[in-house]
Formats: sequence, structure tokens, C-alpha cells
Amino acid sequence: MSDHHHPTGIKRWLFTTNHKDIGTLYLWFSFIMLLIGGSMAMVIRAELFEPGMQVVEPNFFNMMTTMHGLIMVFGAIMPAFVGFANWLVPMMVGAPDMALPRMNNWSFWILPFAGTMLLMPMFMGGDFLQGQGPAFGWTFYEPLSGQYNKLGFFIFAVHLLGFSSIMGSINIIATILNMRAPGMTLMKMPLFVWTWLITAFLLIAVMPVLAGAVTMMLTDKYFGTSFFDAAGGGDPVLFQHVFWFFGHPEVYIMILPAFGIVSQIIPTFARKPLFGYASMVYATAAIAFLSFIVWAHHMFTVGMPVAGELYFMYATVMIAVPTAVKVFNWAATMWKGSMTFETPMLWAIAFVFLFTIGGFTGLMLGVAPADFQYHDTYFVVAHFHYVLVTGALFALIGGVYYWLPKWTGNMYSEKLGKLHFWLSTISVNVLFFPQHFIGLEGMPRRIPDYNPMFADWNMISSIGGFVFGASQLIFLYTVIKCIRGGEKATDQVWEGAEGLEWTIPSPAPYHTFETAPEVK
Amino acid sequence: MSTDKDKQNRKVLGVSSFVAIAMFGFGFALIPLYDVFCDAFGINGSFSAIEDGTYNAEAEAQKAMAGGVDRSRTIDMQFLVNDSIGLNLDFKPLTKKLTLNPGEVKEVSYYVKNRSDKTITIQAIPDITPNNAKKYLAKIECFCFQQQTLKPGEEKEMPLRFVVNSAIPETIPVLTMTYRFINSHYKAEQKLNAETRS
Repeated sequence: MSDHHHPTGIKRWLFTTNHKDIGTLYLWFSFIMLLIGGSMAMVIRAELFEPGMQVVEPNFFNMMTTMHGLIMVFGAIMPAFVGFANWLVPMMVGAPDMALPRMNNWSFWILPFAGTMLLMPMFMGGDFLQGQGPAFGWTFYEPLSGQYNKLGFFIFAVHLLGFSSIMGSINIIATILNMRAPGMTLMKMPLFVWTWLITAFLLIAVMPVLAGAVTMMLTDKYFGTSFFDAAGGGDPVLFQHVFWFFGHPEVYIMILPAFGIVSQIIPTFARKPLFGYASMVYATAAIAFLSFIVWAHHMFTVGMPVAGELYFMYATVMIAVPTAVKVFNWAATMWKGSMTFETPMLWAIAFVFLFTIGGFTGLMLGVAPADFQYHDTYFVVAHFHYVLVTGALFALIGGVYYWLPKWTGNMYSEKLGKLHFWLSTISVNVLFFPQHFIGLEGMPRRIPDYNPMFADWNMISSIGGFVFGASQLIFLYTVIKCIRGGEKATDQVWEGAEGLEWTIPSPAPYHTFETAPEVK
Repeated sequence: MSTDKDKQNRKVLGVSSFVAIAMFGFGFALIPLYDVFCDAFGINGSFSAIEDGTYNAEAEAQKAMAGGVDRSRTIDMQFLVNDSIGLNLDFKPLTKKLTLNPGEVKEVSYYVKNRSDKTITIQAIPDITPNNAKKYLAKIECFCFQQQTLKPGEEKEMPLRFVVNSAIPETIPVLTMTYRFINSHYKAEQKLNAETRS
């Protein structure tokens, strides 16, 4: 717009304090990270295509599993949700921008540096193919991680990522608490806003604990302390406790905003208001609370007293209750609705179905005596990929298709969107479903070679993996095509769409709601 | 934007930052909390009592022998060692296994030799399998109670005297004790290395 002169070119993006620009930056950053982390997954699947060592060195394989996990969690999924929050929260609550726009700029621009620092050791010193990067698993358990000679890069990358997340969260909380339009009471807020408010609280509570854990690793390694080092009276198991005190809320940080996105999409295409709005809000809060008191279910096999195993088992299984409230509410929203199946709705339905599978395997893993069989096998890998890929990632992709017309002003190609959906959904099941079987049979995770008895399912899984990876390029193409042009989108975009973001023009102007809308 | 909103925003910023800093502190507070928790619930054995010097081996043994010797059943004991990273040691149990009655005092020996050309001070770290057998095993004398200093080439036979409480459940027919030495000067040495390098 000519009447608002903001810098153009690279300076626009470097100095921007506009929530839409920053949202776009977050989304592109996370998409690039998705492709990097995805390529690493392709290397993993290529090595596991057949038993024996074919493609890479063992240490390089370990580096791939480690970096794939770290990049996807901290680089792809988390920033993508923050990108959605930046774009949508102000538009959904009727605010002109985020509450603290300059901090917003900072919290994004820390990310590329953190990402670079995380990736850098892979290319430093020695032979790249020998694997110079972190190779101790994304959970970086002590004492193994303490032996790594470039640990400092990893630790400071985590510190920076933590700063970025905490600042982003503070911004989101301030925006939601202070910047709502008159009449937008808390219980009128779209569910996406609610889930992000709760997620932001979780982030502020646990990212500092992670920062504390890596700081202890740092001083153990370089300054002679012994928090986790048995040689000085420390305890490596303690590391697992501290890590999972962060780690379990973290998995909900990665799924609650996905619940929010799906809760926006389903009512639109079922043409019915969300069933049980209030119970959705309370269920989200209940899940967030429970996430703090179940962490040791990740470590049933470290040698805990039976009382501890029982407590963590019951607390864990309890999470199924609020989660089931959500799943039933989504199903009830669709019940007797006038449903149509545009691309976003397809992703949302696949989310409900496939996320629930991941939730059920989570219940199985939460049962302590059974966990001794599943622990550290491909069953665990299958479980968390069902909740993170067909859960978090599917919701994100569905959300992109849903709001893309609002962001760009153009409709995406429904044909390409559906092709992307069907290819992804079929291949992702070919990829991850067999991992349940080989996991139950005892194939350990994070190992580059395996017993030939697992060969068939691994080959099928790898084929699914390659197709799933390739089909994300259709996504990239569809998004770029939509940005460059296409059928013009109306303001409301979707017939059943409700909410403040659908009352403004498409594409959303650079500045929106400079005078606050009235919400009845 | 009204200054009112600025004020509110700054308040959220202040409160949230405080929470974040407090949670950073909480991460560190988990360390002592963990020890307190383990001691209170008897998890992790009596390591911290040994460290503090408050572990009373005699009293523990008296407690373990209070139930008398149970002649009606036997328990198989196995003795193992784990390799010690960064230490040039010859370390092995002289008795690999034995069978005993619960409540009976037994003594075995471990052998260690320093194969390096430096004097070392090392500390043994014990482990007992299965985990839930820990509280039924009382050590009267153990080389793991104190650090061992070995001159270059020095060798030693070290005693381990223990008793298994006759209250041990019958579901535990086999007990495995594993030891591993760690260099207790490791930290100091690491520091020294860092200094000499710079």
C-alpha cells in the first residue's frame, strides 16, 4: 500500500514489526526446516531399506536420527505454529497487531541463527560423511551426550531457540489478554486462540527448564561441575528426569495448537458451530495441567520403584479422558452437518482419525508393564510419528490450505491440494503403520542395521517414506502457484467460515483492525 | 495505541519474564529435590548416606540379620565388573558366583591392578540387579565405601562382605552385583588438561 511507506526488499523483512510479515517469515523458515529434516529422514529410510550397511556410516546414521528429531521439533513444528499464531491471533481477536511488535521481530530473527548453529557442527572438521554433528539422539541423554566434542554449539542453539520461544509466547499471551476487541470475551475467542494461550503458558513454564538442563550439561562439560557426571557424584538418570519434565509438556506444546486449527476447520466445512466449545477449552487446560505430572512415563525402564511406575501409569492414562472429550466433540460437530470435503477438511478429518491411532498407541505405551516390551523399539517411533506427523503436521498443512486464500487473496488449486492429500495420507500410513509390527517384534530404534526378519516391513516402510517425502514437493508447488495467482478469493472464502478474520478483505491488508471491531 | 494498553502489556511482559526466570531456577532446584525425594522414599539405595559418611554398615547388617538364617532356600549370587572408560585397569571378581542362604554373612574378593604408569585414585560404583533387590542387600564391608589409591603397577585384593536379608521375596532367586571403577580425579585432570593446553 502506498500510503504506508515501509522499507522494501530485504529491509522490509529484516526490520518488520508487522505480525503478518513475521508470520510469513516463521512459516517459510519452518517449511525450509521441514525440507531439511525431511531429507534427513530420507537418508534414514534409505539406509533401512535393506538389512546391512549400504548407504552411510553408522555414526552418520546416528547423526541423521538426532538431527532429524531436533530439526523437526525445534525448527519445523514449533516455529510453524508460532507463524500461525502471528498471522491469526491478532486477526481473530480483532487487534491491529501483536502486543509487543519489536520483540516479535527479535523472536523470529533469533531463529535462523539458532538453526544455523544447530546445523553447523555437521560441516565442521573432519569428514562430513563420518558424521561430525550431534549423534546422541534428539533427547541428548547423559552420559553419552557429554562425550560429544562440539557440545557447545548444540547447547547454545538450544538456548537461542528457548529465548525465541519464550519471547514469542510472552507476546502471544500479552496480545490475547490485552488486545482483544471490545466484546471479545475470553469464552468467545476462537478455539485456536485458546489453545495458543494455554500453549504459551506451557512454553514459558518448561523452556527455561530445558535451558537449565543444557546449562548443567555445559558446566559439566567445560567448567568441572558434576550434575550428571557419575565421576563427580552426579547422576545421569537425573538428567532424564529434568529433560522429560520439559519434554512431556513439550509434546503437548506441539499438539495443542493443532487441536485449535482442527477446531476451526471442522465447523466451517460441517457448517455447524463447534460442539461443546466450553468443554474443549477445559479439556485443553486439563491436558496442559496433566502434562506436568506424567514425565517419568518416558523412563519406566530406568529402574523406578513400583509405586512410581503405578503413579506415572495412572496419571498418564488419565490424559486419555480430556483427549477423548476433544475427539468426541469433533465427531459430534461433524454429526448431521452439511459436510463438504474441500482440501482443508480432508486434512482435518485425517487428523482426527490418524491422531487418534497415535493416541491409542500412546495409551499402550503408558501402561508400565507393557512398556517394557515396547520401550525403545519402532513401536515408539510409530506412535510419536502418528501424533506428530499425522497429528501436528497434518493440522498445519490443513491450516495452510484453509487460510491460504485469506493470506494470498487467491484460491489454491483444489485438484493439486487433493492430490497432495491422498498421496500423503496413503503413503504416510504405508510408512508408519508397519513400524508398529516391527516394533512389537523387537526392532530397536536408532540402530542403522537390523535382523533380516524385519526386512520386508522395513522395505515397505521406506517406500512409503520416499513417496511421502516426494509428495511434500507438490505442497511447495501448490503454495507457490497460489501465491503467484489463481482464482480470486472472496472475503469469507468458505461458505461456512465464521470469525473476525473472514470479515476483512482477501488478501488481508497490511494493517487490519486499526479501529477495533465491535463483537456482539 | 493508548498508554493504558502499553502499561498492561509491560505488566504481562514483566510477570511472564519473572515466571520464565523462576522456572530456570526450578530446573536447578530439581537436583536437590531429586536427592531429597530419593532419600525419603529409599530410591537409589543409600548412596547419599555413604557420601555423607552417615551410612552405618554395622547397623544395616544387624537389621539384615535380624530375621535369622533361612535354611529352607538358597539364592544364587553372581559377581561382575564393567569396563572403566579412560582407566587402564585389570579389574575382576575372584569369585564369579556362589550360592547362599538368606541371612548368612559371606565374603568374596575383587582383584584390581593399575596397569598405567601413573598413580590413580579411583572410586567403585556398585549396581545390583534386579533393581528391587537393593534394599535386601546389606554390605558390611565394601571396597566401594572409600576411594582406592593405586601406584603404577600396584595390585590389590579387595574384600566385599555382605548379607542378604532373609525377608527377600522368593521371586528373586538370583542376585547380580556389578562394579565399575571411575577415576575420581577425572574432573581435576580434565581441568588440568584444559589449562596445559591453553
